[in-house]
Amino acid sequence: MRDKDHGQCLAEETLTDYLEGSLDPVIKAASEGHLITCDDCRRRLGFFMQMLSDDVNAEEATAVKVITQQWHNARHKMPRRPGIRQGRLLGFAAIAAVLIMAAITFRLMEPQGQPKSASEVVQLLLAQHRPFESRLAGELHMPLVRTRGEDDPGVAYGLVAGEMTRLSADSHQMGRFYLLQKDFSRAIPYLEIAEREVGAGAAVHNDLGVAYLESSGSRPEKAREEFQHALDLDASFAPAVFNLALSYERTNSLKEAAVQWQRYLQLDSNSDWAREARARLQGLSR
Amino acid sequence: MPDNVGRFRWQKNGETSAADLLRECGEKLTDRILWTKFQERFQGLIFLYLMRALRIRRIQDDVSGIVPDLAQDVYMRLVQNDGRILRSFRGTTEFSVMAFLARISSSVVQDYLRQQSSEKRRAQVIPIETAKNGEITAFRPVESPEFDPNSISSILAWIDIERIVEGDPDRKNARRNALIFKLHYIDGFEAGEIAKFPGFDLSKSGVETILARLRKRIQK
Repeated sequence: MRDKDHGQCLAEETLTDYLEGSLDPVIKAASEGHLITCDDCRRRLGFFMQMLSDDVNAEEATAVKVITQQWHNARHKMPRRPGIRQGRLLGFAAIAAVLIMAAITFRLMEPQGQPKSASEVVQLLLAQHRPFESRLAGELHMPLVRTRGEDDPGVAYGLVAGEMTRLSADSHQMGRFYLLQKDFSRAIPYLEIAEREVGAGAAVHNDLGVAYLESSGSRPEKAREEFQHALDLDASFAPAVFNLALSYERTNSLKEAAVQWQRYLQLDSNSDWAREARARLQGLSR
Repeated sequence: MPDNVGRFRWQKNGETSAADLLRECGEKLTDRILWTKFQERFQGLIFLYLMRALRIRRIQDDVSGIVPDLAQDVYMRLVQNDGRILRSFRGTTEFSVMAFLARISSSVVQDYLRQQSSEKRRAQVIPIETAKNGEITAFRPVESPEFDPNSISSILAWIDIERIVEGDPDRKNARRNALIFKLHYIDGFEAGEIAKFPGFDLSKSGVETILARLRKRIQK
């Protein structure tokens, strides 16, 4: 941003350095010259004056206390979507979450088995249950227990979030982490960031496609673009072909779906995923 | 004041300085003990800054429901890219640490609001509050007793601020004084609030003196 008469607008760091009194005298004088003429920068300075005020009023103090208490009690539980079978599913989800948390915590506490990276944490979580019909990158095959839909609350791994942070999870892993919980509103932005990063591989595009496909306002067209993008980068990336076939099935494009299932079986003919693909292909011809 | 807001303020004897702790956390991203210390000293501040950033931007929702989510994003920013942002921190004072956390909290809130507004746009709903408030601003109502708030903008419109600066006998601080004048009369900051920031290098009465002097000159 440029103020027409008084030079470049000030960076946030310059504004807070000004308040601290740590600017070089020449820069300080130039900043003051700018601040008296640029209303935007002065407003931003005012914003930081309010932010950094050391007067904590009673309302703020109480709110911080409440939030701190919440944070320590539950270490940030994820919101769950309401659903038709909510009560029962929440009960199962709670039990599952406790068991999974116990397993993860045990792994995290056990020195030898401690995951060394965020991707290992995600992989560990992914090994606990299959979240979707579609297939995430690196996902081992498991039978699908839950059906997709609004009434499926997903599992919340609130307590693991801190570990992800400590393990410096990148955007892709954070996206996968939230995707596992079916928290699409968080997963999609992370995966979209990952997709824009230089060197984003087939796995990133595949996982973003899964997020588009499985989110409540399912976007199969957009999902297909991502699967295709993954295959442009790596023509033998089997999960993307699997998902492409599935996305066609979901939109009732059965002919295209059959083509993609056949393509999948050429890439992978023996795994459990292949067995599932074969069963789906047979299902289409019935 | 909650413990961990207060604890930040009074560093215990022999304890690592806030700036060093921040940098150390950037170098040892997986050190639990260090991060526990970080949490003890800074988490309350992060909550406070997120809450303030939401309120200044006039978010009326239940902020205590939003803040924990946003705090998680703050932690994400701190550690992503191998803790680059923490490692690049060059401050030495407690104020610089507070300012650093305030900038990150503000940026997280800005992104959150951007995301919210894009979701609203997608749904083609424009809340009346957003329409009324317009762009996000940190404006506070002018409640200065010396001027009628309704006429302040028109008065300031014809004040040649350059002339004020040039005519100030305190040549060295003329620009600072003009800035203080605007912060008070346009942005609504009280003398005491301005004086709290070391950058202005003035006591409350010093700020009041400057305001009185400039006011007198303008009234002439």
